[in-house]
Amino acid sequence: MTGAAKPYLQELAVIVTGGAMIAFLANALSPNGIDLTKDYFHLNTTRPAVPPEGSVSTQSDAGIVEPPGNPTGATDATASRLAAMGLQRVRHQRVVELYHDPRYEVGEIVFVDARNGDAYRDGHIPKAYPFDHYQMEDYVDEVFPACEIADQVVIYCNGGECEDSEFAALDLIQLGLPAKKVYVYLGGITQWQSQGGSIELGPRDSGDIQ
Amino acid sequence: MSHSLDPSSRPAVSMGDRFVFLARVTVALVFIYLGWVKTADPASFLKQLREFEFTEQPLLLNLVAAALPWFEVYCGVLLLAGVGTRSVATIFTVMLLGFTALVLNRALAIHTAEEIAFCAIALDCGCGSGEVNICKKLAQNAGLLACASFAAIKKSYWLALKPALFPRNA
Repeated sequence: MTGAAKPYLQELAVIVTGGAMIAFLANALSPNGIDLTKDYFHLNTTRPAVPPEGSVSTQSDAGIVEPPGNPTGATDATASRLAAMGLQRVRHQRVVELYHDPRYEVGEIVFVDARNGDAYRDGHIPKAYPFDHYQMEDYVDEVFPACEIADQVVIYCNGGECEDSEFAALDLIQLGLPAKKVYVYLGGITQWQSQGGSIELGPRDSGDIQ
Repeated sequence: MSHSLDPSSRPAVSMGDRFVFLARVTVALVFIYLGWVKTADPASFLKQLREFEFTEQPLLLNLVAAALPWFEVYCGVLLLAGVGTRSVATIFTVMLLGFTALVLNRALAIHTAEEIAFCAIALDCGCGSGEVNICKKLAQNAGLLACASFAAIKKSYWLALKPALFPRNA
């Protein structure tokens, strides 16, 4: 190392080390901080077993064709990815049936919104529970007991290429929810709204339905 | 005690000093802004990082998503204040080279897979500026890279609090 380069490299080392320490400290103190140990995308998760043929999902979806133009934005690749994760898909028509089912009112059917808090407050399926899996600890105490009681849990996010509903489903399964009662609505809030579904603004049970 | 009020006795500020200052401020403000945007929603940044497919290790992804936005803000503040200026500018140069390579690689993958004109590609590179046209993004990065490398190479102490943390021989 030449004499001229030494102070320069020392300076680089001090700045990088100090910066890294400050960055991790700021992340730890931030309410939006990343949990360094969490596998947010379930890259190392053992997938739950795919439910057997003849499960509720398969029977309910039989013969239901998505409207023309593929408004869900769900591609074959998305559906294949879901199957590879051992998750069940539920189609829009069935979601509407579940929403109007009297069991929805008594909590035997639960909808879970896997988008972030801002998106949730901007409009969600009425009575859906917020569950931003990136901030899981803020929501899990409310959403998990509700899901445990329910017979069927429908999880959605934006639709299209959004994967948050899948990761939220895997989180809930990892916490102990039986995979057989978890359904992912790939069309998400985009399809729900485009098909005329009502929307609740603000927090859950705000009563501000549009 | 004698204080000279004669402006001619002050060290002259060259055009080069002014350019370095302008380059410093430009790079610093851009990184402070983009870093700050990312710190407000690190989950989105984490998702964008994953799209680059540079690793499948959750810990590594989390480390980068947790630290990088704050590190950008920190280095931006140092550069703006003129602390360790040439070192910080070097760090930004290296970061910009890395980011540009990643963005270019992803855009080329989209170009090949979807067979669309390269400059028609719009993507959210996770830079903090939302979805951007790839050619505009590359041009922006080239401009920032020029500013950062200029500030790294050119020695200038004008309007800098502590340009060198350790004494230099030369």
